[in-house]
Amino acid sequence: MQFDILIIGGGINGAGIARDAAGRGASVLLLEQGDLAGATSSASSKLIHGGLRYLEHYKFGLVREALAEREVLWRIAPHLVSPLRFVMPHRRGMRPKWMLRTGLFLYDTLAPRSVLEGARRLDLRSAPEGADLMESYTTGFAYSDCAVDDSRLTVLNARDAADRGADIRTRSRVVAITRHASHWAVRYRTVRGGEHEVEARVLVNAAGPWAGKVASLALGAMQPAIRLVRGSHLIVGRRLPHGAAYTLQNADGRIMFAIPYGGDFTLLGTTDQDHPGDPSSPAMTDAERDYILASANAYLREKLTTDDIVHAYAGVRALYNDGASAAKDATREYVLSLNAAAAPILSIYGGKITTYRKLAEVTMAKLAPHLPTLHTRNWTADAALPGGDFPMQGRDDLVHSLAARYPALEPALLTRLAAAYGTQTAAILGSARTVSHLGRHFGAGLYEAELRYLMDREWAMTVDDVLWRRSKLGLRVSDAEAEAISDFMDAQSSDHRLAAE
Amino acid sequence: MASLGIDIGTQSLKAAILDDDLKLVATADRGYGPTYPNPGWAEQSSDLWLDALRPVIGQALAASRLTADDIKAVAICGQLDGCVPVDASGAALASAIIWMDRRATDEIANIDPRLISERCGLVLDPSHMAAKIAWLSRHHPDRSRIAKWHQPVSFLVAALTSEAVMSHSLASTTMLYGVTARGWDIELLNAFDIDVRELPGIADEASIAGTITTRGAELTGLNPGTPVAVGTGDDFSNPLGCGVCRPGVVAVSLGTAETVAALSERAIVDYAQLVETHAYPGGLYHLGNPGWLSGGAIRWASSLLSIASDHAFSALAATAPAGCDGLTFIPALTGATAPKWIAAARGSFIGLSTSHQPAHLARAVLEGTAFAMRDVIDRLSALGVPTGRLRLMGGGARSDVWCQIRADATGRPADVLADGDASAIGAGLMAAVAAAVSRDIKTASSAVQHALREVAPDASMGQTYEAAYRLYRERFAALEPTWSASN
Repeated sequence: MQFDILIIGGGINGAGIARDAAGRGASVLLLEQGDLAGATSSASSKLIHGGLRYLEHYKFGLVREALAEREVLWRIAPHLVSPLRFVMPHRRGMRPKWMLRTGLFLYDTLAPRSVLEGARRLDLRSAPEGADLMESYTTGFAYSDCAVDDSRLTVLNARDAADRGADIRTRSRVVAITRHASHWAVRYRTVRGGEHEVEARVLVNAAGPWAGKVASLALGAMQPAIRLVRGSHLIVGRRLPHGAAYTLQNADGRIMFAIPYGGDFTLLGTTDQDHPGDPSSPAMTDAERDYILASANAYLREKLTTDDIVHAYAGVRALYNDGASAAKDATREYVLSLNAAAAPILSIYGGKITTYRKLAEVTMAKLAPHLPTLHTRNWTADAALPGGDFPMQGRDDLVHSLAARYPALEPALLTRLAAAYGTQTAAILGSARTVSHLGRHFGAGLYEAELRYLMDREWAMTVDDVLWRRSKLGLRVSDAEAEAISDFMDAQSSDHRLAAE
Repeated sequence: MASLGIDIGTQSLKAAILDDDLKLVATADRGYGPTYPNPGWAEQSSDLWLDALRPVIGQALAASRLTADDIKAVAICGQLDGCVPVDASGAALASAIIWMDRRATDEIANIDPRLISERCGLVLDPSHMAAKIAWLSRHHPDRSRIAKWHQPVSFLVAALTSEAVMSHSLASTTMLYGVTARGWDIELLNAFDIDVRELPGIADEASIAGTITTRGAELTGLNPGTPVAVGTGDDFSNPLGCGVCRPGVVAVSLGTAETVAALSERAIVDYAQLVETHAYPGGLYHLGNPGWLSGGAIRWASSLLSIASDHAFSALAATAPAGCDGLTFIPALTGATAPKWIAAARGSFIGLSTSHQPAHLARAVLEGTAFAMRDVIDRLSALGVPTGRLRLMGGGARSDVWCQIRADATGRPADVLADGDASAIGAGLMAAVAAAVSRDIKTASSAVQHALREVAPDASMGQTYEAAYRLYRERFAALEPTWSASN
């Protein structure tokens, strides 16, 4: 069988394109070398934002697009997207107040019409959001943006694509690409060492940090202008009690976020470091760690130390190299490069979580002349992602109705599941009358029923897939518990293999 | 060798025989009808079905030059929302209360509609089986003898095999089935005060319920030991027989009423209650709107305009321009089910002027019903249900004009399948799967060859219809307060 579209890369861009294309009637194969959202797409700041800082670079188009998109993503994924209030403390010598106020005013007015609260000025001496800050910060500005579960957004795009007929294969690494006049032949290797060859009419290179490598495999020596930039984040075991995030301006002109995370934690980041090396398993350097802590400590009343750190992660963004001198100024706008000299290949450089859906639409528009039988109507802005079939502000109602249906289950568990699976929570819990119906408990509220669902429906194959990408339970389970999960999953998958044989 | 499908209709019992390539080789049917003992009541004796079996099957076998020895398996499909109480031996203790019966209004008065919506994906209604069970429990003179409650399909399966079993899709129409949990729901059972032991077990549509007993052999003329599949309702076997077996197709049935539905891999429940959710053969879910008077609206307008035939109606409508020069028809002659469910709503022509001719009125009816279809499709799509091409089925699909309007008003290509009644064929497909002639439901349903006619949307009409659709929505919204005021 020959696929219409073969997508290499199971990050947010690849998964988003798979979904869009499958919904237009294309036969789609997605190959991912590791796990879905295994690299950059699970290492973002987990924000859907209009890119306030882009205002300074006068990228109004990018800001407007991102602001409108924020609302769209909230509507189609109300389980994964949450409105979040941001407080930006002001300090003398920083961006002047007038600039902040005008910037935030523009931020509000560039958005079409919003159910989010508008921007306003705060007196930090009296506002609860000021309590965590040093007393020298007396004024701040509050505005609204959204937080998102980045890796689950990726997985649910893949799930929806599969529900619409796409074939998603993870742990499938492309090893050879052969171009023919009207089709591609692609060889890939699975985790167990088997090699397979597939054919497709169109190739989409959504490999993120590996996009250059894939382009070289497909087109030979032509090296695209790609720049790898590392962004690192820290998670600290402290809460911001008021529930708002901070937007902190650093002395070097960069912006740092401190974001309430997972109930008991705060996420700090990010950095922008050129990353010349191998994009696999990037690590935060001590210098980055110290930089993030120092940035936060310039504002926080109670200082953070390395003892507060519970987790750190780093991701590599592949940016189109527009020759900007500093990493922070490199463009975040995506670049799509189409080569249709023989069978077409479209390579994607850059992009961000907020604009993945638009990027998929633009991708499909570029590919339309090469795939004339597909629907040309854009549809993804109006269709809920799996489990997202409830109103934008209806997550509390969903939790209440789950609590009424599952009175024996902990409210905290139902709240976590509703924010991860939305209405699909009921598909996990089924007709459970007591907690024992959910099967074995692995710790931190992870039960066998959820684990089986993740393996059956969300391509979870290793313990890290479950603990760091399908959920963030890695922050809460012990090493022994993680090992038990790993053993369980191994036993299950060998059962599957035996059954298949 | 062959597979046999039986369809228990309201007006007749039909049989269809499929060969091992799933080609239809013969059909037969025998007519009967319902009785209406009181206003709002509708019943049918289950003996009518049992008595029709042997002659209908015999006739179909004769027409295909086959014998009972050639039948590898049987499946039964048929009317939904019926209720047959039986005693411990399986004998019916009353006539079946059938789908159009609305007597059980008191039985649902104290049921929380949100519970039904959230758990079952249904709109609380006295037509569903749970309400009828509750009514019979209160009013049947011999309550203590009732051992099981059946729908018509499961009743017939039990008559042939002595097994009490109902498919997920059948169970999902009862108001007792948790559509995400895929089983009888204890709270729903409690709400209607029904004992789960008095309900059939639940199994997959194409799995084998049991084999034909000696009594079953007498009733059917088939061999004892022939496997009988669990079966399903006609709302599901009909689209299955028309090849609707995967997400991505919008199934539109253009009969007297118009139904619009699509399939999903996951159980999605519409919190706005514009569409209902059912289980569907193949482990899928069927989300659809139960429909509005559509072909019926054309018949009504035909008689109003003294037009002799459906063909003449379409021909006249074709002479008016798209958008009807600002005339809108709201297709709510018996209440609205799109873009909202409003039982008190009534139909309207809005925007009449002296320049409007009969052709405009005719076209407005065709457009208004297509706009209601678009309401449902847009909702399905917003819920995340895959909606790609249209599949237009039923008698109304014979109108080229109507089909083109539907493609143009939605910007979607349409596959037109003018023969509509494929429920017995759908049953035959389940029999073929039960007999292992076909691997699974999807394979079987996609193997059936259909004479499809493709209608491509005319992109140049897009803006005209977009404007007309917006006008239709605005006018519906403007009329809404007048309906609730008259309530």
